Amino acid sequence: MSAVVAGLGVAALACVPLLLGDYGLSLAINIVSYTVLATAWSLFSGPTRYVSLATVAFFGIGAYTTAVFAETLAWPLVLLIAAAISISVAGIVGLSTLRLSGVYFVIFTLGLAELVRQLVTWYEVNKTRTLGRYVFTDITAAQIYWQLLALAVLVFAVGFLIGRSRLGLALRAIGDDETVARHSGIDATRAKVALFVLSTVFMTLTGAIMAPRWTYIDPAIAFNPVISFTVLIMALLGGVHRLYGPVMGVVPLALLFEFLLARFPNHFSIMVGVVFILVVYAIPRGIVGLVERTVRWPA
Amino acid sequence: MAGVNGLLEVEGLTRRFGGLVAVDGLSFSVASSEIVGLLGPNGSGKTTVLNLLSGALRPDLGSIVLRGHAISGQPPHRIAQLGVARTFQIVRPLASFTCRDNVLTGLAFGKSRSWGAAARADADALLDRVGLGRAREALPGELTYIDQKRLELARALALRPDLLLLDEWLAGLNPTELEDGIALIQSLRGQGITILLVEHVMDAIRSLCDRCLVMNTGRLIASGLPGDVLADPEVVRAYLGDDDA
Repeated sequence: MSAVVAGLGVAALACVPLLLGDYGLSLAINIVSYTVLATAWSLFSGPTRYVSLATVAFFGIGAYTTAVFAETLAWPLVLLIAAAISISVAGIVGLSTLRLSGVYFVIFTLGLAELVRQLVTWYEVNKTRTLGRYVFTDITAAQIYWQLLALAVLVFAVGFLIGRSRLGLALRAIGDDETVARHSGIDATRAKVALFVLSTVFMTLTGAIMAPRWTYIDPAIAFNPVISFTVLIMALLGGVHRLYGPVMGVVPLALLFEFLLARFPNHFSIMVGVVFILVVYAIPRGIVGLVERTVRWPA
Repeated sequence: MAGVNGLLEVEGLTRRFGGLVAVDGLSFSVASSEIVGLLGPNGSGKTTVLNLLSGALRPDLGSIVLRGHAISGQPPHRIAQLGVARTFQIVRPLASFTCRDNVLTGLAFGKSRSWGAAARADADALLDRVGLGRAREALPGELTYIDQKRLELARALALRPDLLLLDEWLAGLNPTELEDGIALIQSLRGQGITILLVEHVMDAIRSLCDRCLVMNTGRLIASGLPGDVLADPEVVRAYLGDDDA
């Protein structure tokens, strides 16, 4: 029954490009891409409570993979390469850093994104001798939207399956008390690395799919740290304890940011900062948490 | 005592923290289905021994052999899967999990690796065993202290352990609860579970333990029947000082 409803919902969403104009479609692309990013982010960070600011590192890796290979290789191959790069980077990073906890992990991931950006910048300046790249493909906006929608369906399906699996239980146990989890037979390192890798694959693919939107990219665009913070705050606003939580934060914030950007282009950063603070202070458990509490104890 | 049915063999176990030798060349063995008390004054190294046995700490020297498998230096999750379960001195339930999910965690990743409806039935049976049948859906925070201890015991039992390590599991209970707690541990004996317990409650030691090991400053100073060991002058001296020996 719920599968039928979900199927109809996806079918309806798939019709969006046929109904909306260019502006509407670009807004829809924005919302769906952040939905994938925020849901993927909370796949890992929700249960384990490891706050990652490395989202944009993987998003940018995906975007650059497209920029480098899209002209010469078949599109599915480009996506495959992006996924492979993300798996190896995330695997190495995961194995070497997931022993860190709390604020050390947060700082590391922020640093990682910056490190990747600097490496790409260095390579472009010294090897290719040009900072920017043009992304020429014949992929239309509607096709980007459909790919992102498919990716969103996939991330929800994966999240749903993990939530009902041993791995999901292991991650929640790790989030509660890692020592107890380890003494209960859980290979905490393996579980964390597996989920970290999985969530970054979705982020990388989002970047790869989104890259043709820009036609021109440079490291400052592809590795813009604001993306990491935006994903974080969207996920927190929606609530990371439920699979459908992050999307509840994505929709209102994407619309709000769109509005702010159009009306107050010069004060945008200040207003985003205020929104961040409000979300963290006023709705610490997210919209989903707020709703669940209200339903449980009606006023 | 080692013999053919020696479940646990510890040889020359040593662990230092900087200059302090917390466990100093400790050797002992535990036979299958025994209940052994590990005693000693505060700071004598008992909890460190449990941490070494459960893999929370790595030994600097020495070997720990469980049913013929060397487990020393292995990570805690491997040791748990091989059949060693523990409780913590200060209870550590998984706070956001219901009682049933706490127990399911042990079932899913311990020896049985059970999952699904069968695991849920096992979890409920274990909760019944420890007397928490009425609180399956409750969160640990809603339980009394003894019930949290029961929950932790159920989670440890869910690993289907051969060796159960209890770190002052009976501490902090009132006399009625203590009686219940002792009866509960006593009931595990029939299940073929071997128990090594760190304890200060003398009543419990006398009524539960087949044998006691007494540590002081990281070394074994006595071992034997509870009554004999507690009367040993060196043990009395370790606890109370020279004047009372």
